[in-house]
Amino acid sequence: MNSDRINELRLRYQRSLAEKAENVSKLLVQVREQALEKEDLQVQVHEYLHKLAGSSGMYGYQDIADLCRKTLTELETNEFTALSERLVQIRNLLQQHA
Amino acid sequence: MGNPAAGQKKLLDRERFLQITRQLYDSEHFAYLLVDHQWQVLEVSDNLVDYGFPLLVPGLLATDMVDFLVGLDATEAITLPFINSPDGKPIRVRLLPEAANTIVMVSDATEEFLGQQMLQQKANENQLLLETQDKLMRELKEAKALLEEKNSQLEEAARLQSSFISGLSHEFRTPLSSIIGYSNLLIAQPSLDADTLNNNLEVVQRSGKHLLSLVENLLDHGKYNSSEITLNPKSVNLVALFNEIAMMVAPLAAAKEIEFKSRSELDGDLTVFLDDSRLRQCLINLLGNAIKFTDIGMVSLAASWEDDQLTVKIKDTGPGISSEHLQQITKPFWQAPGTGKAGTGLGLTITEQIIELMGGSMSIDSQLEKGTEISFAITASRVEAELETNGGPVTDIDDGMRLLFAEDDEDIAALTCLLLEEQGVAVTHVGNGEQALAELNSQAFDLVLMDLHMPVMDGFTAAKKIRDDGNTIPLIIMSASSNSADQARAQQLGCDGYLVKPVDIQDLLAMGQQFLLNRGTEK
Repeated sequence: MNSDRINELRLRYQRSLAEKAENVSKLLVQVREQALEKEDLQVQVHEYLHKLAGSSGMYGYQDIADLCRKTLTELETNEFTALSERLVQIRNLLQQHA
Repeated sequence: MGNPAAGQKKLLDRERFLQITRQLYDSEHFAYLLVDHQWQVLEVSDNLVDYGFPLLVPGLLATDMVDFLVGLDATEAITLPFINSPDGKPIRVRLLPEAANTIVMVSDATEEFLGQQMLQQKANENQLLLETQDKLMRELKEAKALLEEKNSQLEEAARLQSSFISGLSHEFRTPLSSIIGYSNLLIAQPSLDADTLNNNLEVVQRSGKHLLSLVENLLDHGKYNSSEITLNPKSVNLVALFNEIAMMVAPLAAAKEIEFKSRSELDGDLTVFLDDSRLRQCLINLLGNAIKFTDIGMVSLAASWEDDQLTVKIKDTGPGISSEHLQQITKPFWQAPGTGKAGTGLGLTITEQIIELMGGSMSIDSQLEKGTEISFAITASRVEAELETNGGPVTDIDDGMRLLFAEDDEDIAALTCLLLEEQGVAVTHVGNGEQALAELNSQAFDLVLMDLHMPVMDGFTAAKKIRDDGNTIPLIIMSASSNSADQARAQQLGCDGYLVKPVDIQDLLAMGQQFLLNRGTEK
């Protein structure tokens, strides 16, 4: 019974990956258009990736979780040079698993 | 008496001489001044004023009018090669004394002066070139020395790499051979008696664990280099941990016929907040090394606790380490040459890194042929047991642990709740810290599991309020953040555990049960 519900949840999460990829794309556009020094944008990206790291890991998408965590570490050490590239990689992984 | 005709001729000759001189001066654009030996002006060429000289008329004293003549002897022939005329031009002045008079000859020295300047400039440039050449030579020498040093480092790196691969192969081959050999035995002789069967399986398991620790060291080394290594502190009974370690390494010492002593000054109920798996990894690395390098004598392990500090000392009667090698010993992949003991060369490196990450430090005291003592101290907070339990958990999974779970992410919350309920845990889920506080006030729970980043009230704020209210319920933070600052803050706020997402439900339940054991929380 529970395993059915777990499969249902896994399926629901997998279906949400396309929307999550879209959300990362939107963040990517903002990152590219705005100065990375903008603190509110950093917070927004950090919060979203933080949530994504947690949930993707829980549902077994370890590659997405690892990449999110790596990006979070970079953000926390004010390393923004690879942020756009990282977001592209995360979006691609999300699309790949969707 | 003189001859008047001869005197007249002499006068004419002198007049003629002066005339020729004047013509010559005019043709060469020389200027002149004729003075007697007391510097009284007798005659001046018209062009002397062209050099900026004042108007000199016969009868005046030249030294009153021309500064550079002051101090000169009018009877002495002298050449002043480059001096400034009164109007600042470079001129050459020659004093040409005769019997009664002196001609002061003035000529333009601009060209010679410029030539001289150019020569001086060239000399300066040459000097500069020489200095630049010297500097370049010095830099070349330094670059060469640096290159030689880098080459030497590369050679050392290549040697280490080669030694590492050879050591690693040996290190992996030994337990693998053991696993394959004993599993072959098990397959070939299915009807072994229970004791032999158990012994064989234990060897397989021990070899597997050894392999695992080797792999963990390798992975950790990579992680530490990219600052990804994390601590996962939780409440740990230190006595149990040290007993477990002693049991694990004692057979290794016995196999080499050396003595192993474990001396603990820890209270039986001493429970502290630290990452037990990392501490275990350090102890196994250090004890494993001590046993590996000691062929005769003993290895000892001592642990003590004082002022929130755990101090560990590991001594051996092995060959010791030379002072030269002590400098190298914690470098990655470094192994003492000529010992004949293979290894990855990472154990001490990783151990030192983990101890530093735990806020401690490691020291090595060793003398050749006298053995080695490695000690380290780490700070951790003691977890006070409020209610002693007499065997068995007050609440366990079978009894239905009541867990309050604060998590705003619906995906995570739904899956975690389901997995926990599947294990018989009664979960109350809320979406933020404020709701968690409200639930805690309205009903009893055994454990709180709290996310950090939540709207309305985050996990840290809620945890602080829970502890400020005097509530000592076991509280575990669950976050996607592996940031050590977040983990330290959780500990500071009195949280009992910190789990990094994705959380293994079995780990969570084991941690929860340990808290219930330690604290004896009433249902």
